[in-house]
Amino acid sequence: MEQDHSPVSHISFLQRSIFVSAKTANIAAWLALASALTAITNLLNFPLQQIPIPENKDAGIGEAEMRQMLRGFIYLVAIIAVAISLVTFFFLTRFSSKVKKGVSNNQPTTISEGLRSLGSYFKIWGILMMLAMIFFVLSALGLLLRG
Amino acid sequence: MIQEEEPQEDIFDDDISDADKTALLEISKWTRVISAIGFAISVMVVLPMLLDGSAALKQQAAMPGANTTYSKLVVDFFINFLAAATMLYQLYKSSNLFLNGVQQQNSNTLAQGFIHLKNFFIALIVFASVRMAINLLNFI
Repeated sequence: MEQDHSPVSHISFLQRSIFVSAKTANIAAWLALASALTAITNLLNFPLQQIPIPENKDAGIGEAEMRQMLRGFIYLVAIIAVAISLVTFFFLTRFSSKVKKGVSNNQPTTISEGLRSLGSYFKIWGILMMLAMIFFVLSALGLLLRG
Repeated sequence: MIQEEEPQEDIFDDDISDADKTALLEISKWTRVISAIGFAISVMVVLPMLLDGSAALKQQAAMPGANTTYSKLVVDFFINFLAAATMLYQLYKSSNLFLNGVQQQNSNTLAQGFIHLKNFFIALIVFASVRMAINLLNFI
């Protein structure tokens, strides 16, 4: 019968589960980054000239200025999205590499560093979800108040 | 009746440090926050879609520069909904298992938590791949 000679063949069920989770996380990190970058490129290529933009005569802003402001807003959103994608990618790949190294070489402190990176990854997403929730509630309130 | 004793080798005190317990509790806390807010936002999105979703998607498809059709938007909505539901469920399960595993000091429960976390990453891989394919098709 063939024996398992992989570097993690000697480890416990828990360590094996962490190791497999870390390996999957690495693939997920790369694909999530690639997906985010293609979405941002799509956003930047969005044909703004096809959207009818009303002038704001009360504020003295013409259509060209409104279009310029919208373009600036899209750039701002793209920069924030790239920053978030890169930071989350960093923490997820760090979790993956530290845990794989820690389990393979039997280094508990390296595994701990990896788990802390995973904590930071979920903390960032948790804060972003809170902001999204606040945005949703404010939008709903705005719609209700406008009738 | 003779009762067999549970094997003690997987009990986690021997394997996992206080730093790991703290990190796991942190992961559990934030995955719980994400899943709770995610479920709340899903309800806030799905309820209006049930009431007037068809009209909203038709309006979106008819927007100038939208470069899409109503049927594409419906498929897109269901893909997003299914992916979000799967990811949130897996996160919620792993959050509970991490918390229970640390509280009960049981490494098997923790391992189950990591298996659900792996399922979350698999759902993320599928979701990211589909989104990337849709984004790349928009370039063509």
